[in-house]
Amino acid sequence: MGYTTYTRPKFVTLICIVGFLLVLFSMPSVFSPDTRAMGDYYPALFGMLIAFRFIAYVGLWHFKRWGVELFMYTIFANVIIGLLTDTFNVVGTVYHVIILVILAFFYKKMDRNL
Amino acid sequence: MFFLTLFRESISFALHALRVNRLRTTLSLLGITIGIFAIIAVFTAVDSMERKVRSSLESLGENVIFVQKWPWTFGPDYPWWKYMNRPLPAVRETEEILRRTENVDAAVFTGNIRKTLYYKTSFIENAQILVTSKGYEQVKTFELSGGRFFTDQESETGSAVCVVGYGVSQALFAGQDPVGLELKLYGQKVQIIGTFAREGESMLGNSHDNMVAVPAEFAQRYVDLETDQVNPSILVKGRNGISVEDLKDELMGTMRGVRRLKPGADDNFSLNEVSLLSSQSESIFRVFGTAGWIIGAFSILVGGFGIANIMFVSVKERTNQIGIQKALGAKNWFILTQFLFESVVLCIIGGLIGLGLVYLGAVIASRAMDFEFVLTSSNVILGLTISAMIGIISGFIPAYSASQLDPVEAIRSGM
Repeated sequence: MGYTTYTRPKFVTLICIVGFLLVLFSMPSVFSPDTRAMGDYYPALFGMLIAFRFIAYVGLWHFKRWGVELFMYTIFANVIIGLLTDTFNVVGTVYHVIILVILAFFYKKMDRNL
Repeated sequence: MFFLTLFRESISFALHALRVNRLRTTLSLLGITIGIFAIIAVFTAVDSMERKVRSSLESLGENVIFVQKWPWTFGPDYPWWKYMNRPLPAVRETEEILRRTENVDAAVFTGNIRKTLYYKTSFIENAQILVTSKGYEQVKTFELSGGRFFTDQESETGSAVCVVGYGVSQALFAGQDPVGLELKLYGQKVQIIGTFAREGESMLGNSHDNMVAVPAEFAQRYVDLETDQVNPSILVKGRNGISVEDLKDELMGTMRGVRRLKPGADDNFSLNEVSLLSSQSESIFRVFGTAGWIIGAFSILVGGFGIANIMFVSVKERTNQIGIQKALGAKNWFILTQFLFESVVLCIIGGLIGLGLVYLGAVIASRAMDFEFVLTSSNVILGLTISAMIGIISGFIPAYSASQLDPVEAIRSGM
């Protein structure tokens, strides 16, 4: 009985590094004056979204399927929040959907465990 | 139900871990506490000041235009020498505005004089005397705690009557009801017919607390109201449904007619509107908010790294315990949740301490400065959200690494 080994492709590594940097730079925007102006609960929603996106990137870094799934949920949540609050960002959404499509190609090769 | 049991167990594990390492926990909490304190303290101060300025601006009146000699905003190369030679607004121009315009609901002449007020043996030096023509109560928002305001007849005939502010009343009459008493101004006896309700400090210095209002017709018997020292203004309020722009357009034409300006000649008056001040104050508060945001962001970042570090240490210390838990059947996600909760609880405790410090600071500052600092619910939610977010972000990697430990290796490492 042999162990299954999973090797993270360089492209996924690049996606993760860019993603970690984006999360790092998005963190301060949770409590920026513009975000606060959106309403009392918007910073809370936005903050949780960033935290879950960070977790998704950690999952992708470890080449786990749940990373892709969580990443997809965060995109979905982001789109819904954007549409509800009239802050829908086309460029950001397109970027994340492209990443998601790329990740979908690697999905079957990923580890299904936690 | 199962999740709640897991949640309770994770919390108790977390609290136990925090209890056994008090000093380490306290030190790692400090980063988050300071970060949350920095951000929320700045936001609380800015929000409180903004609210105060907004209420001061509201007291100036919505849909009100100030006809004055000087504009409230200047460009970089404004021709101040031209403004210097402009004539000052006069009481008679107020009447002309009322007569010639259609969209104006009320117009009032106001000015400020500094003069000594006497009551028996007591006096207030350089008291602020507010000079108004009739219709002041239609343009400005204020409340009276006793008596009444001038009647139109008193304003037109320049009766020797006045309405005093709370501060003046306290200084001269110390608890006595001043209505009906007489003050001495310009050597004349002036009867007090009303008192302004207490308003508190105003960020724009337009609180009635330290003012004594007298009719303009009375004041101009003793002092020239068309001087820069009086800072005369005509406050014009538009009718309901008339926009400030429409009112401004009509006033522009009317004032040019009143001043008999030829076509093509520059205006020799300024039409100032409250929205100018509110947009300026908004931009100032935005700068303060951004400064607090930048300072706080760095503090939070440092605090987050501190928490991540302490969680890695915690995982390392409890590797053996993790191994035993896994050997007994604990799932990966149970270990992950346990450490993640510990990190989130740690950050939320740090955040709560920070919020407590802000609340304490707000109470102390409010008492010391006679200015109300309020820690709002939105700032409390924001503080707790940031804490939870930092807890998740900084605790996830250590928690995940703990969950991935091999039970045999983990038990061996602790022996």
